[in-house]
Amino acid sequence: MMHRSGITALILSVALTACVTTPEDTYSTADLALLQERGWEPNFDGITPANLEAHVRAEIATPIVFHGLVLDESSNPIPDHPVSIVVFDRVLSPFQSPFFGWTTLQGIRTDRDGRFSLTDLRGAAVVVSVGDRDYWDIDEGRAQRVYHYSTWRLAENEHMLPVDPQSPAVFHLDRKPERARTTLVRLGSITLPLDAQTGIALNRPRYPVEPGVADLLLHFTREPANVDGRFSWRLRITTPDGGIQRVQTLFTDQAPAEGYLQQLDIGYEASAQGWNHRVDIPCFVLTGEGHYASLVLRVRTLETPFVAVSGKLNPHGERYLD
Amino acid sequence: MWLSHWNNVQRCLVLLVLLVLAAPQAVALVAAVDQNGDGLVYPSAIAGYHAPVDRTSSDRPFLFWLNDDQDDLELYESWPHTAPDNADDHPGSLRDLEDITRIVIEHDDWQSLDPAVTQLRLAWEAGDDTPVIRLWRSGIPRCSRSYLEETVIGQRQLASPYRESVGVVAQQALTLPLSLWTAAERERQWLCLLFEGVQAGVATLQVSLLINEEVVETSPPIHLVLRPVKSFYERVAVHWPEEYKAPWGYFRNPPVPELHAQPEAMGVPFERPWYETSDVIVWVHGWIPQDPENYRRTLVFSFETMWKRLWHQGFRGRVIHFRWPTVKKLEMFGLHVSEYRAYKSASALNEYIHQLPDELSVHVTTHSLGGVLLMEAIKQGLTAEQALFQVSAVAAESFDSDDSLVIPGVSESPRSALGHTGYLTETKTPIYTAYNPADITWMGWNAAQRVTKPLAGVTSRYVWVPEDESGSGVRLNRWWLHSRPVDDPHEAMAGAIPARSQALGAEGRVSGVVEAAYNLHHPPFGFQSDHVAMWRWNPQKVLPYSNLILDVFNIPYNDAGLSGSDQ
Repeated sequence: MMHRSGITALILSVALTACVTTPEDTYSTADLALLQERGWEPNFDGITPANLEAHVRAEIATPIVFHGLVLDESSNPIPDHPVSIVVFDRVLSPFQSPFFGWTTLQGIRTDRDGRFSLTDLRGAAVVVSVGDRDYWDIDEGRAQRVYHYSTWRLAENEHMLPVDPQSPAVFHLDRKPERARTTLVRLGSITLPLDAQTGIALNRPRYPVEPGVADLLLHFTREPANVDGRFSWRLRITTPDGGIQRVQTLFTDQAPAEGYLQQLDIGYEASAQGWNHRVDIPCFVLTGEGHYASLVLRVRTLETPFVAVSGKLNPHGERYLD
Repeated sequence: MWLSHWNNVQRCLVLLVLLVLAAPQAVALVAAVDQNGDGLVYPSAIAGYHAPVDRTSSDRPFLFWLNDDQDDLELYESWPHTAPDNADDHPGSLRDLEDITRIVIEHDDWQSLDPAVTQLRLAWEAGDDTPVIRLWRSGIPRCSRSYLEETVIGQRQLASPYRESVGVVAQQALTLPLSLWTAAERERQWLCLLFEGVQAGVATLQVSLLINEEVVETSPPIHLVLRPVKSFYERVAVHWPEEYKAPWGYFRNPPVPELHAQPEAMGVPFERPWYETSDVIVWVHGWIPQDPENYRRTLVFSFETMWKRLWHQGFRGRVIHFRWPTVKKLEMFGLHVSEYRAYKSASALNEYIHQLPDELSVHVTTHSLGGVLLMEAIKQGLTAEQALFQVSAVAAESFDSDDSLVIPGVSESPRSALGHTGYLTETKTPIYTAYNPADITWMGWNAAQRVTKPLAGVTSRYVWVPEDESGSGVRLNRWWLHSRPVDDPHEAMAGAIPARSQALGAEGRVSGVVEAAYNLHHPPFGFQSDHVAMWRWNPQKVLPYSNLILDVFNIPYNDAGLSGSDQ
């Protein structure tokens, strides 16, 4: 209950001091856990473990200048449009995979001419996204663009670095077509019985369905806990007549066309390094009916094991997932 | 014997006919409420789907609360309750919708009934004391509770024709014409009503179908209990003896009062619901005023609202509000003495939790400045299933001493054995934090660290004397007349030594004893700069946050999950 007092304190603080720092919107330990659990590591071609940290520190020290312009489908500037900017500007401490940390810049919006710019920044790369629930970036058809600034990564850029205000990165936004519209999947928690099959339908919340009408079949096993309270557990996810593809993140507007597996196994041995009784699984699912979905399966395996399912489904048979 | 003369086909046909005749006749009229708290209302089973049917009984009634607060604003709510929500015919606001619940009335074939001569009658059948409920026609498709989940749908319920009440069920029955529902609505199997609690009571509600004013069918009864919301959760309080001053008021080491948590009935004792699970959430509040009027207001606005939101998300364990003796005057004075009292109240929290029955699963959470208290309780050995720090105003460096958390430019701040760095280094309690770097509170918190922390009242000041070998390097100076060493880390951290990091509630990079941090500035939460969005904002925008609390505690929850439909 510090809100009103916070405002009062803000006024006082401005009067009292000009040196008060404000927090930065950095990555969280939950974000990192997601990446680490998946074992994702950036590609460091030609870098040795001995010089890796120095390399990463050098990359995040690269100056960044970025000029952007957001236009509508008629090429008119869109003023006051929110722009999401993530800068890879930190070294993880302790230094471990994925090595880079990041900061989300707060409150970036286009000016009245549809322009925005970033200066006085340092970092290895920026990730820019301008789409929202109703509009998308028609040039890209995806949620975001990545710009590498470090010397080592310049060749990976798909776009010229927009360092000149006269040649900004142009983002054309267009209203999303009906086929790109999705429905929300909000099933809440579904209890996972031990050593039994659980059918899940993406339109049936909270409880299992018969296997014959399920989009996902889950089979959960768990062994007794050891003296440390750890236990081995395993969850097998099967997609009848469909497929599942586990991914790092769901930062994309389209489900992949290929790469689906009929079955996915996750879990931990009690003795495993990094053991956890909680796992979040971002994944794409192709249902037996041919519908694509982007889901997060939150698997919780303590006393009452359950999976909470949320995400989006494209009911038009398209891969677009806004 | 006669069957033996028939062939197999004949025998099967006869048995089939007998089975059909012997099967119980399907009940054509059934009324139901969300008895099991799963967010769904199913009057009857659905083939292929294992959702349980909602059936009440005398020992498993549907419990709901009286709508006697005042949610008549676009944002937040009114105080005092001069015009309670249940005193008029209209839902007061989007926020008021969380004090309203559903009745679903199922019939095999509404379409076959002539709306000109068909009526539904709702009446209390029996009860110790007759409750009163007020009803509305639901404007929500499929009788869902999406009026709680999405702003647009909530607004639909607040607009005509749905906002006008269709009447009350009191000692007099309420009769509704079937024509109240449109032909399109009658095409479905379910007709939907919403209701609020007007008057407390225990009774059974019966819904009857009337044709030409004759009862032709009556639903199985709904067992219903309406009671004050304060009877649904428990309260305990720690009080600070008035004779104990702030620590900087003492020439010698300050005396420490012995503190214990005591039950706080507030005129409405807690009544254990029949459905109570073994999960207990102990909620430690933040920096709040303590005078009776403002304390009661704050309790209603914040904690009580969070209790309702957890309830709607399916939590059926016990929630216990833990009051501790903050000092808050003129909305801005008392921060540091409150911080000191937080440290000293921690033992009372430990003592209280320790005496709870072993079979309970205890989860602890706190908001803002209560983080100091909970941190100290954990340091003193509190063991819980999990601890969740919500936007907590306690130094991040206390949980993680990594240098990367030190704010550039303040690394030369005093460091002392009594300082914040690495204060909590080990615990068996898994710690989680929900943080928001955009929260405007951190401006004030940082200012307090840098500017007001060495100040100790009007006449005193804490000073850093690193060469002082008598103690911690921290002394309290009163004018130029008197000086004493500071040996108590609680006094030092609360009054003398500024944090070198951001607050835990502002910092996502914290590791150490923290299992995971969740960013409330990002979807699905999007709390912007609001420190108390979780209860100040309307439920349609913040239900995913209640799910985060339950998710961290490994407790199953209803939909409106973490997907953030309304961002």
